[in-house]
Amino acid sequence: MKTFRLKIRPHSSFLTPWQADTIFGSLCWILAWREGTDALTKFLQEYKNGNPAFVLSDGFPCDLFPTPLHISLRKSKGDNIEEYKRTKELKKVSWLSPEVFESVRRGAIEIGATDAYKAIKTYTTLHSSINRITGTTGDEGSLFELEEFAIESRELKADTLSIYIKIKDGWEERVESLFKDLSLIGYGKKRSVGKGSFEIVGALEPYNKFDNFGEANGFVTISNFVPAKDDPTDGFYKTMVKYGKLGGEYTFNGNPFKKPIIMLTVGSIFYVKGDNKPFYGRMVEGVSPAKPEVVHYGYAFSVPIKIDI
Amino acid sequence: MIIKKFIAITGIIHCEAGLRIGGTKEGIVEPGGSENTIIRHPITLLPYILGSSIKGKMRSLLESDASSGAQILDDGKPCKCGRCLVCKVFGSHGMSNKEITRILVRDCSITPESESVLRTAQEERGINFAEIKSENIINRKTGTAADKGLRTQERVPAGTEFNMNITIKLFKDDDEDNILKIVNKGIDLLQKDYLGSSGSRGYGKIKINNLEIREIN
Repeated sequence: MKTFRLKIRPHSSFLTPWQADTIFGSLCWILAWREGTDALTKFLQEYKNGNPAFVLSDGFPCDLFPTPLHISLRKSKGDNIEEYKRTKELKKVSWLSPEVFESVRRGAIEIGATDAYKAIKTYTTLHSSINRITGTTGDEGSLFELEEFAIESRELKADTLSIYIKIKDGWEERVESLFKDLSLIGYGKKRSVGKGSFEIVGALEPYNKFDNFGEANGFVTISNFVPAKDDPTDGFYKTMVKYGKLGGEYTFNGNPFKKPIIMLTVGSIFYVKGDNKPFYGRMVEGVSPAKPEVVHYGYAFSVPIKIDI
Repeated sequence: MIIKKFIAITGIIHCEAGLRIGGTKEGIVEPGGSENTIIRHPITLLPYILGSSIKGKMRSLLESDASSGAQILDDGKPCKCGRCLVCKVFGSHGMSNKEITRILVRDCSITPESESVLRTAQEERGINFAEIKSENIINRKTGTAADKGLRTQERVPAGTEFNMNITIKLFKDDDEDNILKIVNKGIDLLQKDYLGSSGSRGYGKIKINNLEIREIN
């Protein structure tokens, strides 16, 4: 598998965070609409067998990376108040520049306060529905608000998102074409009114900065994931509950909700004995009460790291 | 369902009158400024037209059109039938008989030319990308301005232009001609009616120039 980076430029705000499992689900629907459901079933069978065609990271603003969790959860060096204050400060750091991420990957655990970025702005917009008889808005219950996200382009001086993809040989063109179709449809919630609209900047570019190195003794995940039976368990992690939903035509089957899934979050790190694998995690089956064939993407995009605490 | 093709409809929305699409006041009301602000991009603070404003208005106008076959509910809520062309193209409300929405209306960004004009106006006259219009209520007995009737509204000045971008997703068995016809009709009705609020007193008259329909490869 080779690693590539795909840069995209959102044309509007988005309502659905750019998380690997949601991106994967959107690409699966495009594959089904382009090549038919049989092709999708075959494609997903390989994922269930532990042989994925490609593994995705979340979408990250510009060139930033998520902070590995051991930075804030590291063992306290002393019981003094300064140390606690510092730990609290580090908990707020969500994003690291490529240089700082690389130094953390090589074993550094102290980062400066200036290394923190506010990368995503969250805000709400008000919407209303038109009364078809009066032609006006303002009826009781017609006003609703949406929580939206936008890239803090002024602070970052860039307005792109980067998605990293590990692709099996021969799949490069197909991955690119799936993303191209996604750019025509839009990503996530409310895409029929323009939310999640984006363009692809350039093409898939080979990316070699996640290389393995001799001192690496673990991995950091840059996508949320569900561990497989044999995955490492010793590390630092946080969990989140994912309330997934079905997409495409399956939205309209009467029950579009998946069962909640506990996932380990972006930035979780684990010690690895022996060689680092290019990915960890698994597909989760039996998540939809209405559609038994539905699976949930739970692979981790792993990046080798030296855990030195 | 198998996708047959994507069709792009692009054009320039020209505001022939001031356009007002209300936004939230959060963080952008200045002392002495209008409380009724327009919607702005949260980072650049430039005005834009929401895709939902265009799609919602097009849909409501098409539903009111007798030939569309849509059934408006007694309480004025949108058609839920899931069978008429409006439901097929714009998406049905409710969960019954739903199909994939065929139309995608993007947010409309301000054109670089209009941005430049408004930026110059901002530098020279302190206008914050919008005019502030004062309105009043007439006391019907005295014929003069009513007490507490004065208010100010922000609106995008007439002459401002935005990029319109609509994508139509067509599946294998879709009737392409009819779908395009209904979308075109929606665009036509939009120009005859108004966009945003206060259309009955002249706001929101738009004209769509350089309308282009092409297949995306």
